[in-house]
Amino acid sequence: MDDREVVSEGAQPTERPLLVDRAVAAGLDVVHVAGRAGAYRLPEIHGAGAGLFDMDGDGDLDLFLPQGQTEPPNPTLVDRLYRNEGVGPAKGSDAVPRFVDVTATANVGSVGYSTGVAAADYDNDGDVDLYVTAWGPDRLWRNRGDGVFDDVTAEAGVAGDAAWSVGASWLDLDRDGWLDLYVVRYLEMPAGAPSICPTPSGEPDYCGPTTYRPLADRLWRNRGDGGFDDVSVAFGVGARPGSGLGAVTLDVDADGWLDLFVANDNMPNFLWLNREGRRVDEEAVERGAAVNADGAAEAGMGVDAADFDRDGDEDLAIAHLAGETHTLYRNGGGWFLDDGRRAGLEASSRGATGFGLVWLDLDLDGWLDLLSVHGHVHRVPELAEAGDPFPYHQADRLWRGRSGGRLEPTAPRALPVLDAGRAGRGLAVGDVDDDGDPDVVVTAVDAPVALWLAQSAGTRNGASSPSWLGVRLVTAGRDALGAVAILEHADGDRQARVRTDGSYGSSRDPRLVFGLGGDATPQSVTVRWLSGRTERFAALEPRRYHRLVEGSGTEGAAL
Amino acid sequence: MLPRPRLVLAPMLAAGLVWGLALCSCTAGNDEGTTARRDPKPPVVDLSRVDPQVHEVVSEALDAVDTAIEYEAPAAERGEAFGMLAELCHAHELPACALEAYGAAAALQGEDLRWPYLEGHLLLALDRPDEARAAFGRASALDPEAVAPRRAMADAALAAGSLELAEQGYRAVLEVAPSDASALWALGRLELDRAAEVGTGERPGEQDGLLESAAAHLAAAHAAAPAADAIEHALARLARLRGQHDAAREHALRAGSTAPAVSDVHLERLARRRTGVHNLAARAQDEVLAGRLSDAVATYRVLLTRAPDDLRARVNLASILVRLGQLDTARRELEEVLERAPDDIAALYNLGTLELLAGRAEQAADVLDRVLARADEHGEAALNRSIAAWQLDDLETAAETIARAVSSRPHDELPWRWWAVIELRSGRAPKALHRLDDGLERVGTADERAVLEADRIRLLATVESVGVHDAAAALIRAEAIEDAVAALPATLAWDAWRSLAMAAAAAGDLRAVAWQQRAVGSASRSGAVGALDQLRDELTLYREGGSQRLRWWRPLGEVVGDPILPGQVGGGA
Repeated sequence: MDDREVVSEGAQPTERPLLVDRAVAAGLDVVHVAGRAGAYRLPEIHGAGAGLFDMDGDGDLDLFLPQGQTEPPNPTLVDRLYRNEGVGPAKGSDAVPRFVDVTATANVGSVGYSTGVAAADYDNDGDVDLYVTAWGPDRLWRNRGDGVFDDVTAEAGVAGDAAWSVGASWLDLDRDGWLDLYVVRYLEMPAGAPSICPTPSGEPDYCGPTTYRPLADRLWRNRGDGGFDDVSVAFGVGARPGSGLGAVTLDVDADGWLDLFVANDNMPNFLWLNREGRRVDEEAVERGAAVNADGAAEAGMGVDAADFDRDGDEDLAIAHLAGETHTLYRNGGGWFLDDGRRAGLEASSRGATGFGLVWLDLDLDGWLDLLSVHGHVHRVPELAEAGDPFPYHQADRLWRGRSGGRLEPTAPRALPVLDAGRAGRGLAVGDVDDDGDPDVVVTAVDAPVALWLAQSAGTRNGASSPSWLGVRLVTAGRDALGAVAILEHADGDRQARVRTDGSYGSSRDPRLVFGLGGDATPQSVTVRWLSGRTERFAALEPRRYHRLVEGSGTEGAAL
Repeated sequence: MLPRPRLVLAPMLAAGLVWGLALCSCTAGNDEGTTARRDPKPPVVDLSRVDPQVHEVVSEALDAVDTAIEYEAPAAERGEAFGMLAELCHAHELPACALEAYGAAAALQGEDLRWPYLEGHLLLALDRPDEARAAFGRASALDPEAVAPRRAMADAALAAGSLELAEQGYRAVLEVAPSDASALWALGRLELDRAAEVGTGERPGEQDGLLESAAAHLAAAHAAAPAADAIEHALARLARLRGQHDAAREHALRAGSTAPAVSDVHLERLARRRTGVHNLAARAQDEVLAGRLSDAVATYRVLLTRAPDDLRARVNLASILVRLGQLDTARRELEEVLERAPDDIAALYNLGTLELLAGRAEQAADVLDRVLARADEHGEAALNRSIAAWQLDDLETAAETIARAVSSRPHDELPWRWWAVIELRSGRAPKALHRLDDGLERVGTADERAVLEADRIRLLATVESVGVHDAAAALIRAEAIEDAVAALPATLAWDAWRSLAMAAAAAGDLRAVAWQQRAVGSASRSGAVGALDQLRDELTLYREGGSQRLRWWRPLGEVVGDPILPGQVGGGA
């Protein structure tokens, strides 16, 4: 079948679009600056991610936006932090949350070339902290809890060596109750390294990753006293250089220990299997997730993991370069098969250069959809030939999840936000307006930030809108990263893991939302905590979020 | 789009004008050649920002089209002019020009397979697979027995997500080329996809049939292209679908990225159309990566006639000449660079390496010191400086500089191995063992670990002062890594086999002969001719049951790091 231009049913002209961009109305006015000035420095075309997190503990999502930089540096170009003031009393179809720039008061306006962000409460003090990746020194910002952040990079011992990193994952690798940190490092770009690789017609363009030397990633173990130890070599990570960009936590072999997948650019991916917190073993090749079905290493950028086919294990989707395809590694008991062709992802993603990529139930029908933002890294000849001043932009793509593990592409023309003429990079997902459906923050190279509000749920949609159940899993006063919630449902159980990583240089809402479609009855959820405890929480009312705290459910639920 | 700039007539254009006139005169009165009113017009193309040489060749092709039209050349010759223009635009990524010109060429030369075929490839690259498939279909209709258009049709169907059409297409390839490895491989993979799909449904019997068919196609592909290790990925997938995870793991670990070779004269011609210094440089780099060093030398020679001031290209040429052993010629090229840019790090590094290979350790040390003074993290220079110091019996400097090399290249095996050799030569055998152990912790790949492990085995088996000398235990380790050594590329394998042979000899085991034979074979295949005599001597020794006390370190000439192209990291700029 030809699945390239299917206009999905939810996007007929007479219907409300699934997503609308309300960044301006929300007060988000920041424009990413790549610092493009003719030198074609590779980080320019890689852009930056975005981070949705609750900085002040008021329950809604605030926004951190890493910023690029010019050469010479411009001191007014700094990372930005926006506080979410909520949608206020006004409800209705135009209700939009208001964001206020609190960069200066929060003390996070550093000058550098930031590329990504990972949010989590690493010191278990109840406030969410930030690790900001960069082309140059990364930074760890400790949230003091009073709206101000302290740069604790040096004292925490995570200063590293000022290389180029993009992705980062917070995960409790050794299950000691403290979040450890995995930093995905990309390429070594020493001074004097070549930066311009002309097109065949001789026009200047960016080089590819193979021009530079890949870097080994870093693994920092949290000591629990505010400091970290570099265990990269001891755990085996330091011996494997890779051109990694995206990372996501999952439990491949269902042993209760968090594993980690790293999407490498133009070289085989890494799949680090956690050996009970003592070391990690790289098994991507053996388990079928290193290269695609043709045996080709692809240009991995954004990545996400989720049980999209509802078979009880986590599948991987990875965004790749135009000419390749986005890849779906379907998990079968810890062994992966590249299944993008069968699922309907391959042909419809062949022309796309994808960066940010997330699984999300946009229409709350209970089947996960896949969203990825696109933009080329090399000049597009037909755009350049037509005189386009920035011949890198490209339409984004949404695939609607269907039963049986099928993904149905939505034509960009059916969803106008997808075709805004950007080179999309960061993609952070979270319920920004707290109405139950997943909203999205999108960043792009040299472009204003976009805030796509989903239009599927919430009071504004009336009684006929799909139902949903939201849960926030909490342990030791913080989000229980790594824990799994299993919704017991008549249509079959569904599971989701708490994580803030995945996508591209971005950090997401740690809350979990289950789309219920037309089912508005109370639901039951079983939680598998990282500690090994299993608890059941029953009679949860739909259309609202529930805070599920480890130790407060009914223990020993059968799974 | 901007109008095409007119150029002053270049010599080639003047020749084209005469050619056009001649054609016109000889075809006067031929209806086929006098249909100017219906003729396609030359495309308008903006060449204002392209490389001057690209500008020149495309402009000449445009003018040839103009001339052919103006003088009403026969349709076939006008088609040829459009076709040439199309190929040049295609090769230089000017797709609108190329598509228009391919269309014109096909209209004028309706029987010529080239134009729809190449148009199809362009459309595929532009992510328009349905149109590409139609174009390949037109090409295939012109020569139904031709394999390339059939295969391209199937590839385009696959790109469009039309899996059944793709499967039919690959079967159509096999009708005319039954042992086409590429088509067999593709068919096998498509059957695996279908098997995965039915496997999750309620038709397990159907899955067995598909898996069987896939296995047959993949086996046939493997037989037709035994070097294509990418097929192993499909075999791993097949084993996974059968639930044979151990077999899947074995196939996956054997797999590589070499796909079945597909010869395509049209695409090869297209690649040769690329001109311009930057394209020549890229072509030369590709030739180096493919191991076609003589071709790369020729390409750089052409490049330097067009751009004699391109110092990067000249250093690259010199580095290839060093690898080819043409040291005097390489020296002349490097001296020319250094005359104009005395501090050029890449030129200095390659000169230092050259001096080392020429046996002039003192001169090598001087030049490499200049490199390290300007680029203190130049790991390759530090490695070769260490070797120079070794040759000069300056073990202290050798140790100091190899530490710098390891610091710069902790994930590479070579500096760790050399460090162990230096420690051994300095009478610090236990430290040599530590260096190898440290290297095993840090090196990046399984291949590198296997080589280091082989060194470690050699050390334990043959050096009593190491402290934990145990030839029997080393032999057991040798047995354990035999498969890993067999999987090494020949360039690394010969020395590893030699290590295992030494361990066997030290333990009085007859496998010393077999393993040493493999060392000789690998050295021969990898071109390590400098080591062959010594390896053969050792083989004779083992056959005769002679001394097991052999020199631990490898021939120095084999250790020197390859010269580096400035485009590669570490070469400096």
